[in-house]
Amino acid sequence: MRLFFKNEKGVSSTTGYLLYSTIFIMFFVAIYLSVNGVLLERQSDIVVEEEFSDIGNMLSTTLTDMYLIAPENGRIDTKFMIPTTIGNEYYTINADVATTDQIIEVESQSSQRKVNVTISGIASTVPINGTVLSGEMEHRISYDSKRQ
Amino acid sequence: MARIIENEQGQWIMLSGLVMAIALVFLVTLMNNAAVTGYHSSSNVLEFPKDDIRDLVSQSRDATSQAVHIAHQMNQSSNQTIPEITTSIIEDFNRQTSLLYASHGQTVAISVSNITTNNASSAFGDIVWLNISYNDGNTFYSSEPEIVEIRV
Repeated sequence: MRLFFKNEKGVSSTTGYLLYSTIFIMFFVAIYLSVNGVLLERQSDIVVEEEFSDIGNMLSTTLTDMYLIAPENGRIDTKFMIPTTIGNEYYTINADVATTDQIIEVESQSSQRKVNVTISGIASTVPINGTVLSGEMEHRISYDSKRQ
Repeated sequence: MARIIENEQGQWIMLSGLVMAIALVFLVTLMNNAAVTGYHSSSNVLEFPKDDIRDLVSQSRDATSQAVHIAHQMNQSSNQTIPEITTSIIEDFNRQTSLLYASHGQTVAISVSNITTNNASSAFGDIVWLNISYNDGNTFYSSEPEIVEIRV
């Protein structure tokens, strides 16, 4: 044991630093390879999906509000604003499935991301249809009591 | 101690220190990049004027009902017919309401399109057909006609 403590052959600072830096470089390479997936793509997945569902909810709320005040004879016409791109992706809002499934779809045009939002069953009394492309200049929802 | 400080054969140490410093800076930049990656949260404000429109419609119905009641009272001592008096009261209401809504940047119009009067013995009251429209630049609403039935 005394010999082990007196032996100074393994305490070369240079070797030590070489070891340290090798380990560090290996660690760095490992992080570098995984950073794109863990830090960038995963985060953007979450952000984009959150925002899709925000927009879906906004539309669903507007539709429900319109349904609540819809006149027996008359019409409502409203414009709404949405971002052109989310996470650098154009997207489509599809209400054509509303009548059968009671949902609206918010779907990316370039990736597979898609979020469904419920419209509380109002499409069974008032038919809802139409598609919105985020790149268009103006978006609107129209209601007409005469057009069933 | 003196030997460690005076030992000048430390190129590797310096070099590795430099490599680590550069690598750390790179990592920190990457991390920051991920945190503010250019996505901003939804800037949508829900602007659908549901309450304004509801208010307008219910106020118009109330005013119409009052107008018909007043018209029946005034008709006792006036040459004008009930529809004439009702229409003129609703025109007044339209002028005042338009002014109120205009101060919020909204255009509204309330007008009478038809009135039928029934005598007191009838099962139905008087019926007024109102045209109500609302526009705030983003949302257009019209109820034509809004049918108001009033028992006198």
